[in-house]
Amino acid sequence: MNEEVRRSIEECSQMERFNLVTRLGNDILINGGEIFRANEAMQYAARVLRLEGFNAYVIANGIFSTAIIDGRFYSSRICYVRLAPIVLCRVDELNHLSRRIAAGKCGPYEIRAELDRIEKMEAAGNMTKIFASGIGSASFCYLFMGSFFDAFTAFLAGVVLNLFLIYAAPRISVSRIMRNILASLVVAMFCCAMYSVGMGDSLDRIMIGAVFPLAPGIPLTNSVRNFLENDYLSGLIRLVDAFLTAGCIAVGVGAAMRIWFTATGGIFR
Amino acid sequence: MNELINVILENEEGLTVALQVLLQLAAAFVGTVAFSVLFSVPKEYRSACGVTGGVGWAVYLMINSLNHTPIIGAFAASAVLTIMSRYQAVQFKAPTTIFLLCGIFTLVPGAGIYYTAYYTFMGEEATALSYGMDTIKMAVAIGLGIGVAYSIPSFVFGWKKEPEVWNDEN
Repeated sequence: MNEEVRRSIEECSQMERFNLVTRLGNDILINGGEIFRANEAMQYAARVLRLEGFNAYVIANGIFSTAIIDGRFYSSRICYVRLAPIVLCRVDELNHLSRRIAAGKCGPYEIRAELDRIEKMEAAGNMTKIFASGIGSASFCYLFMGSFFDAFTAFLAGVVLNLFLIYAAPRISVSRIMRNILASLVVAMFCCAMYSVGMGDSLDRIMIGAVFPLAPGIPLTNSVRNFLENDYLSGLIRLVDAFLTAGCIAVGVGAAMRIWFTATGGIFR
Repeated sequence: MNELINVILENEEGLTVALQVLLQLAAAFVGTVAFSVLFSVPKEYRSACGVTGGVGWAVYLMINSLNHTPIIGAFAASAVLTIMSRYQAVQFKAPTTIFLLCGIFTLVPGAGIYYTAYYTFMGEEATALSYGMDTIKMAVAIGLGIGVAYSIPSFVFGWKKEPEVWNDEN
């Protein structure tokens, strides 16, 4: 650790350092980093920033941390972490930052500047994401035995899905559950409409591809990993998230088909 | 293996099958890369994510076509996939999550969820239940696959916990 870093640590108040450490953990967790990663990064940062008796308890949607202030009092922070969209490039950057902190190459002011920068980071623009969603839908449609024609329709459906998620969903502030139901409803209605005007060979395959970006792969994987780390509480939170998301897709798709059947008399073509 | 290749090369049907398999793998690769864009994976890791997804799907296809057991296929594929992402994580010095979350998407039972919904709303409860059970079994198989792959100690992948690793970074 060089002299400059040492000096800046001494200059910075204990409160400020404690805040920085919790913020680091919060950022890792909210962008989709693992729980143990958040925990370890906080422990390393606390050691380097000379926070006495630092201890943290991290679960899927919250951080509880304590440190000894002035050598006498226990100070604690409770940090609520909402379930947010995954932004993996930020996790990667935070991981690099955490390495640098642990190596003693990063003072508190630099950490704050880096956190400010990373919190705004994005690896792809909205247009790229919408396009990617279409490509993802199309390739999964093809993977599940769809024809190229199906894949093309699934591409359009995937684009519609992400247009809805990025532009329409934030305006109507609804819960995650309603958002997922609405999104799958919209996309399933779109598929039905496209299919009935003659786009695509198999409705089933188009739909499977189209709803794939909504499928709960992430909460399922994270939940399993939490269970393996003996963190049953976080595992349960994420397992419920996974099952609810799957249920929401089912309800949305089912409702859309019912509506379409009733409206058009059950004949697709 | 050689016999298999001969069979594939000698008759025309074999060739179309081989082409189909190649196209499927390409689709798995492209699909995984597309999802990695959706989750804002840094550009330099995207092709690695795609490879993970492609390998996972290849394992799944192989076991599924040899034995017709999608559940075991999903188990083996997710285990192989997790091993790959752990290896890549050490190589790139990046979190395992990046590769695992994108790669696993090829195995998520999206089709199962869809069919369960479809048959429930068509009023065919028995079919819906059987699809629902299959979906849950797939999910459990994927979970177990990840679990098995995570039980391999990390030094196998060349991971060191000692602080030297932290220090040699720039």
